[in-house]
Amino acid sequence: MAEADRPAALRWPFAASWWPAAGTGVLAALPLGFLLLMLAAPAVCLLTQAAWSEAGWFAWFSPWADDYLRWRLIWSGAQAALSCALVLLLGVPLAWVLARLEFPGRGLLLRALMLPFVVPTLVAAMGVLALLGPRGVLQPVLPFSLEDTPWLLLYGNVFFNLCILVRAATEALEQVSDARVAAARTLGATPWRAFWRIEWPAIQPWLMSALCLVFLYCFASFGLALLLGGPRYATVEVEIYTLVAHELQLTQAGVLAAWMLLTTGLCALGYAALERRLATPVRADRIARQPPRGAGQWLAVVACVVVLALLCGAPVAVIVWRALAAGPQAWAVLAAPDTLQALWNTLRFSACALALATLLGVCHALAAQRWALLRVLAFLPFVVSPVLVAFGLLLLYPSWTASSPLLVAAYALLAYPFIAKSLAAGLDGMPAHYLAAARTLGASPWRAFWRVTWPLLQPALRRGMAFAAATAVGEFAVTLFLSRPEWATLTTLVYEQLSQPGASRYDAALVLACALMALALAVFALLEWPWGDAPGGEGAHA
Amino acid sequence: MLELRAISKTWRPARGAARSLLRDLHLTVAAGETVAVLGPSGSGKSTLLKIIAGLEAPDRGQVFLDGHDISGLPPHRRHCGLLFQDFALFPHLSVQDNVAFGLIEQGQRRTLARAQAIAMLQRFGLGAHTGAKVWQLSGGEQQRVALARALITAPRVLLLDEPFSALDADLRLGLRAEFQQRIAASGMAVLWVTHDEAEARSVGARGFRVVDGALQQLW
Repeated sequence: MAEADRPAALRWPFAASWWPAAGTGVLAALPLGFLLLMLAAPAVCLLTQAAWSEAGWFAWFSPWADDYLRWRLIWSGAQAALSCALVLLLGVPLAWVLARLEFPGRGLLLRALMLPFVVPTLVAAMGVLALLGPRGVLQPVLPFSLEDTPWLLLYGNVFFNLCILVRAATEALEQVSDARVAAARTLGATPWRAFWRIEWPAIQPWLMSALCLVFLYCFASFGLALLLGGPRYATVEVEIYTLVAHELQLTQAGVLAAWMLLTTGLCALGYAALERRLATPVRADRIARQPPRGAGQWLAVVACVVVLALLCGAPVAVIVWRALAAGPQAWAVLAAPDTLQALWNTLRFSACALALATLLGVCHALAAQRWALLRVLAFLPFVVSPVLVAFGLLLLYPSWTASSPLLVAAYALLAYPFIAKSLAAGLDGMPAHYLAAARTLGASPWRAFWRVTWPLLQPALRRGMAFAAATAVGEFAVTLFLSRPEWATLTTLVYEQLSQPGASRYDAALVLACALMALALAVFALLEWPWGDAPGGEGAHA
Repeated sequence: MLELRAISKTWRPARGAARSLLRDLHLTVAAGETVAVLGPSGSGKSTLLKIIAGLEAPDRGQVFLDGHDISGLPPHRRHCGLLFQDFALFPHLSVQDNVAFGLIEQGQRRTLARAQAIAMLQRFGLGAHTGAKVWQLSGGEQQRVALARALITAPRVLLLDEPFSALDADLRLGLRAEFQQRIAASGMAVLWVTHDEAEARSVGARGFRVVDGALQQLW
């Protein structure tokens, strides 16, 4: 293997000999210590809570002996599996259109696919309710009510997760070797056979990896399940919240949390294994996108746009529409003292969390260039759901409950992996020659980092921070567990309005949801600006 | 004068057996002389350049420049210019800032460095592109900018790592003649690595092939 063929991660730039191992240790200490205190210790606390109960080890299996809890566990897995099947069926054809056809608005469509990543869970759930719920705009034309059926939750899951699969499958299809497909065609394969025998096997690892993520997110779903699941189709996460917040049955909740940790841990291991397999160099001979030819391909483009608009755009659009239609009385809620206080709380908690998350993310990504294990650890906060994090923190640090440092730290825990992963990808994608060129041109290691590495990392950092900020602004579960009444954020205020009866409350919740979505989008756009042609972006490396 | 004494380097992959890339390699390149080094991919040619530039440490051996042992010096103190296969231009900087980069690192004032860079670019026929981003240039223009960037700090050694392999054949011929002319005028010791024997014979006063980690003189 030639020197230049070595994986970039081994060469750039903190794997270099001038970067001492001790320096990496110092960088790694902060995120590792943080993960230990905020994630590992609470998770161990949850497990011991279950293991050392009065019922002994039998307590571990008690949920399976109870009809109600058994249903909760089975349904949580089943709805996640069903959601995986739905996004796979819908996502692969959509990805094929986006990867193979060049049409006006394609770039916009790909960008719009990021929308569900930015929209807060609670807003999405409200969007689904406003569209298909008991008072939804489509309810009059539906032949039956969707209330108390699993479809609302499944639709919410598809809204959030379809984009994950479509983006992964599009990227995978773009990696497929043009020469191999051409060879298959010259050997007599029809386009469909070439897809089935060449493209499908090539994209399978990407699909499996995306499906692992989708399963994780759906299985540990809280906000969507709380609002859309109803009494019958809520998930284990909702049950844990009910047991802790309303029934004070901590042992039972601990046992359920342990089963959740076990399942999500297994799923995360599968994801990590697949990610390692996907860490191969990008193919140079990609299949060029062609303009649509013939009615069939144009129909596919139109179908792609319509399906994405219905599944990913409609819940967002309907919230705006319903809020606008609610009238000035409902909009007066924006000027209410409670709303202004909630807005201030949202902004200050998010800003503090973003600052901490940025510090942690930068340290983590830089240290991970030398220690590969750190890359896996950056994924841990995705594995442990916000409900489990909050519950674990409640158990471990009871005297710190409802303290602002703990709340901000919990926000940062959920947000910082976005920054760490984005920066790590930026560092991996940076050609090692840039650093070598800077060094041979007389730059010291620090100067080379400051003048070359750091400016080139800006787009990755901004992108990571944008996702982290959107996560913090829309955070719901942790706030519900760890917050004080006077620290209500916009998400908890929306939930409070929804929990109370009356059409005016519902309209106020719609307006607040609209404001929350606008805030999340504005923060995201502000941090990610300027879009597209930032230095060091994809175009810059051409 | 550049002198390599008994340079050895073994590549140790994370998995699999170690492989000796360079074995007890000796070479002398006089100031103003261009020496070509040939060899297939993976033969250790690029590693040799990185060792000279200080980007990699040899397992054994020393690098001398004008009689001084520079083996312990970091890359930014060696005064070696390195030209890369893929140009390695910095995409976040304009053309003139790329060329001025080395001067600024030497402590020159930014305005003065930029003025010198513009003058250099004009001599290279790139005066119209000084404010452009590097990815807006053609392949040939990018490699010219890379040469201007390498030459502006007046290094004592210039190392070229397959400088034209990313360019098409017609452009390669034209650029080769231009590069030879500019390099000859600078009076540096030049080590030109390529896998193309015709190119090697046209640029190098002497030519070597890397065979089993050692240099075998061809002409």
